Amino acid sequence: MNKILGILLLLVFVCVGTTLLTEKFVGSTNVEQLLRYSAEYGIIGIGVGLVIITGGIDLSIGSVIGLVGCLLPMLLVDHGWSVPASLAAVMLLSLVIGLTHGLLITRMRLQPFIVTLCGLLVYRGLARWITSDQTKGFGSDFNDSLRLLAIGKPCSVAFLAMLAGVGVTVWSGGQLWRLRQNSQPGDRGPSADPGTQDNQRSTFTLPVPWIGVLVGLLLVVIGSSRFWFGYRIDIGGTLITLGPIAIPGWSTTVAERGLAMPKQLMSLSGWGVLPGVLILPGVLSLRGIKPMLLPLAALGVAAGLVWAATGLVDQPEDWFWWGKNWARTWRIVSVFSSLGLLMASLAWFGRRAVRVAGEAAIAPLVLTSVCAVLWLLGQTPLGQTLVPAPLVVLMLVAATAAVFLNQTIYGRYLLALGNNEEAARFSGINTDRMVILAYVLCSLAAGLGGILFALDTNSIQPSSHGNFYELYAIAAAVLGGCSLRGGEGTVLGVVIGAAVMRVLYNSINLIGIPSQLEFAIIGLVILLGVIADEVVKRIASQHRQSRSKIEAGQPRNPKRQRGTNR
Amino acid sequence: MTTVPEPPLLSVRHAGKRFPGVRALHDVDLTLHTGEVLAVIGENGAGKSTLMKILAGVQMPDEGEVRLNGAPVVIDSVHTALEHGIALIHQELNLSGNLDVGANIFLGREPRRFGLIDKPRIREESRRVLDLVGLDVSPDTIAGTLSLGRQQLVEIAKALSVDARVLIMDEPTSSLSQGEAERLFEVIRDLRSRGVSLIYISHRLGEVQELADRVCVLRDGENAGELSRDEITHDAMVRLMVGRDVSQFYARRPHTAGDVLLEADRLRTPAYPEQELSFQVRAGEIVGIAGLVGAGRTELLRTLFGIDVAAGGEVRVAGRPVTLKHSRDAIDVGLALVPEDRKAEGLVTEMSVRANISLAGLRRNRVLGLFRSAGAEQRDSEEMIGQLNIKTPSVEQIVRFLSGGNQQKVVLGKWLSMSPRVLLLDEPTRGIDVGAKQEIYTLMETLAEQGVAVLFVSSEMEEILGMSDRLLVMHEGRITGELSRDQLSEQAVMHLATGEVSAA
Ligand SMILES: Nc1ncnc2c1ncn2[C@@H]1O[C@H](COP(=O)(O)OP(=O)(O)OP(=O)(O)O)[C@@H](O)[C@H]1O
Ligand SMILES: [Mg+2]
Repeated sequence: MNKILGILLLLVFVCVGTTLLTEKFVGSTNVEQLLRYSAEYGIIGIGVGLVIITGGIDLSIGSVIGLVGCLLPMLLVDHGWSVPASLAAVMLLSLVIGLTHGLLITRMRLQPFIVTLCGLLVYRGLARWITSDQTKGFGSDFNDSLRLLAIGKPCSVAFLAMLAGVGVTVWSGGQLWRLRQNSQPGDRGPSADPGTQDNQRSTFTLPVPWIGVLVGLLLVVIGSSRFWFGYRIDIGGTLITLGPIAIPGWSTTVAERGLAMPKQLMSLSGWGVLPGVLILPGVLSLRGIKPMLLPLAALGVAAGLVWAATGLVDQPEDWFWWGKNWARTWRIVSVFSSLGLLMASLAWFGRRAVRVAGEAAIAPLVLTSVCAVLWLLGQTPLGQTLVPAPLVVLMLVAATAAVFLNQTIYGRYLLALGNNEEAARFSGINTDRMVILAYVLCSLAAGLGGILFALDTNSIQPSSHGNFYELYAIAAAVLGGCSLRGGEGTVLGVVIGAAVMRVLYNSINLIGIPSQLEFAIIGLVILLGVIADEVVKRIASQHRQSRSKIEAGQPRNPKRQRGTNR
Repeated sequence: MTTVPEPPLLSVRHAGKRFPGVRALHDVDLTLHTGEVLAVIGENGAGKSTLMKILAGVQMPDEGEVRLNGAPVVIDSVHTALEHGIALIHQELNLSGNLDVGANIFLGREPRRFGLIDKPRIREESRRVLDLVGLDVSPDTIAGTLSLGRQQLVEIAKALSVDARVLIMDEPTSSLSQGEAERLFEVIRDLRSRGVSLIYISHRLGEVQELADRVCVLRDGENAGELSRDEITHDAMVRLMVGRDVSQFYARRPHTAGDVLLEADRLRTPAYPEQELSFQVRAGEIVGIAGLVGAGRTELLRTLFGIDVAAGGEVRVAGRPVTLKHSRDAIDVGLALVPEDRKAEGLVTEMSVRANISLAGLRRNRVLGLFRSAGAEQRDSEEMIGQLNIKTPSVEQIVRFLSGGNQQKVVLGKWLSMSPRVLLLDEPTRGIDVGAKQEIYTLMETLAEQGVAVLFVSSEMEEILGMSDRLLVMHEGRITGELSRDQLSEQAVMHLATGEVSAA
């Protein structure tokens, strides 16, 4: 969790800041667009993440996307291949590309950087050659079939929230059940220092599953409300034919009243902060309100600043009499800096509260924040937004990748060999084969991404389609916590990293930063993100240390008589 | 000032250090006088290395103070420590394998001339300190190509090159051969006579007895007592360390060997492709391999385990010829190898104890051909932690944070959880304390009784003589002789190890 906390905060920071600056950001069209791009980048990011975990790198992704993007319309339109055959062909091509990389890297002992750099050049050249540099596209024939894979909107955000709610509820319920099962204090093996780690566990794990169940149910209620007043699913058309099987497309119509329901419920759940706001001071005052005063004051000041900054946004430009030309800069800087302060003081407040009041503070804190977040989201059109199809693809890919990485032996092999290839080899792991697998998966992800990107754009320039995408994917992976040294990384982190990349790009365009500065800003923010991540990790480990110290009942600074030695 | 007795050169008062879930040091005192050799001993995880890291500025204490010549000092970095003349030779090797020996010795404090690195001076100075430790390699050799023992000597040379007032050696002999160790002792005595103070950490109590002027014993992160020169006996040390008596040495019980489980037939290793090695190990038998560092013992084990591919010959397991192209092939026929260099070959140090212990068994315990079995992982690691008495706050502890000896036990645990038929051990007790050593010997014994064939390489004479049912002695890639239990003697072994082929 600590691993992705930093990047998650960065995502929230940019999103909230941009929303405060311009309403357009949370508009339905924009959100859908954003989700689609983030999903497409997320898919290629996950691929390269797997390679980075082995300590390698893949620079050829962008060119693979370009090549696939050219080949797919050529096969479908120019050569009239069937859809399944064309898709299979480009995926097979990606697989062969990955296999080639893997074999060159393991069998010939070539450096991944070189191999894939050459790949970058070769595939780009091939793409331009087979198309004679002519723009390719699918025309309008596939708008109601294959292209729906990229531009379709199969379900609503509300529906996903409902699914997520079910997931969270079940999972937390499972945790709860497990805790019940082992609640009898058993002996947990030899411990160097009894009494340090056990109470850590009981302090922090017990209430969390309950909160999970509550939040999950809340999500189910809000998400499902869209369908309370009736819905109709129309099945029709053909999305894709796989031999004899034709997968049809579908569309859902929801009753008028249901459409607005999630939004209303979200606004309503704003009242949910009340119990928290009422309980928390009580809980805290039991342990002495004094240590909370300072963070509370900071929170107040920061909130005031944010309010003032949003006020600035609404002022006309000539209001900024001291520097009319800098009006935009003023707004951006004041919103983001005050927001930064607000988040910092929130974190301070939360940590203090937990430290002062212990576990009793966690439940009110979490519930209050969840309700506050829901209320905030209720102010946006998110409740009615539809989900672009690539997001569904991403979720499938991400779930598979996460299971692969965390639950299968091969995932563990990848992590182990990324950390210490020699030790992995001594443990009977066929490291070469695993490395090859990583490159194959990466190229397959690039191929899949390439298909989606191509279907999405529908106008593919052989010389530029996919340019730099490898760098965005790598940036997403690194932002998401993959260490280029290997052995470290999470799928969720990569997905969030990809979202951060896209949100940034979107934000820069929306809030009117000159597009010439685009790269500079993205570069700086990535740097900032990596630094923030490092800082969060460091604080977390310090926090852990000091906590174990306090819990063992050790005074921090014992004053002792300085006598003679013996 | 004249009335006050001269303060000790270095003293530590009330030192305390905790790590998450572990109290590594608590209220520890230590004094070191000028020109003495102070041995610090204690069980694995007693806090020896932690105390030394505090002195050398690698870690900061949570509590307590360090005084140098009576004046409190704050040692907040390795650099400060070196400025105060305190140098530490780490327990784990820390050489940069891709740099040459000279560059390693002067890493971070390269002499400059006209702003550039003064290569000739590095070479000259390096040669001087390498001579001191009796290592005849050129300063231009790439460090990674040296054997473990030689790398250790380079580390020692590196510490000598700073002309320290206080030289701390954390288990310097754990990967040295007897000859190399002897040479090191001479260096230590020489340094002492020149007024250098030394802190010497070792689990080999014989060495401590031979060298130390005073012994300081740590137990569970606290002072357990001190022994002055004439009190230093094996039993006294053990009693303070373990808190009970441990028998002087383990002697293998006589027993009967079973069928041949492992057989090498004219096997040729890639390291010495011109030498043919043939031998057998039977079920229930413990066979030792002795020899000097570089005799090709490690290479033999690597070949048997499929890490190196044999240049010729045949290996048979339980009578059946096996092709060993990869360690997986070896594991599949029931072999296990506890490698020599635990940090590089044995452990994924950034992963948890659980992940490490279960690593080799993942494939065997998999569910539906693909998925990890969390239950099996938990069971295996908890069982091994119990059986080997591994000191760790939990199965989730990152292995890097364990003490050296406990790391070694994790490697052992990984292989024991595989219940191998043939167990290959390369220096199995490297860095392991007396008590744990006994446990490992008992374990080898138990495994042998259960019908496992055990083949172990060791450079410790006591261990070789005590544990082997049969001993193979190697010299420059050849097996120069085989000694049965009643032929075992130190002289006989040294004789063969130096290449004088037995008449028998
Ligand atoms: N960085 C760290 N993080 C967490 N725990 C640590 C860390 N370093 C040491 N420890 C723990 O502190 C205790 C003392 O370790 P230390 O390395 O000092 O032992 P030692 O006496 O040198 O043992 P050995 O003989 O096995 O080398 C051990 O329990 C170890 O697990
Ligand atoms: Mg140690």
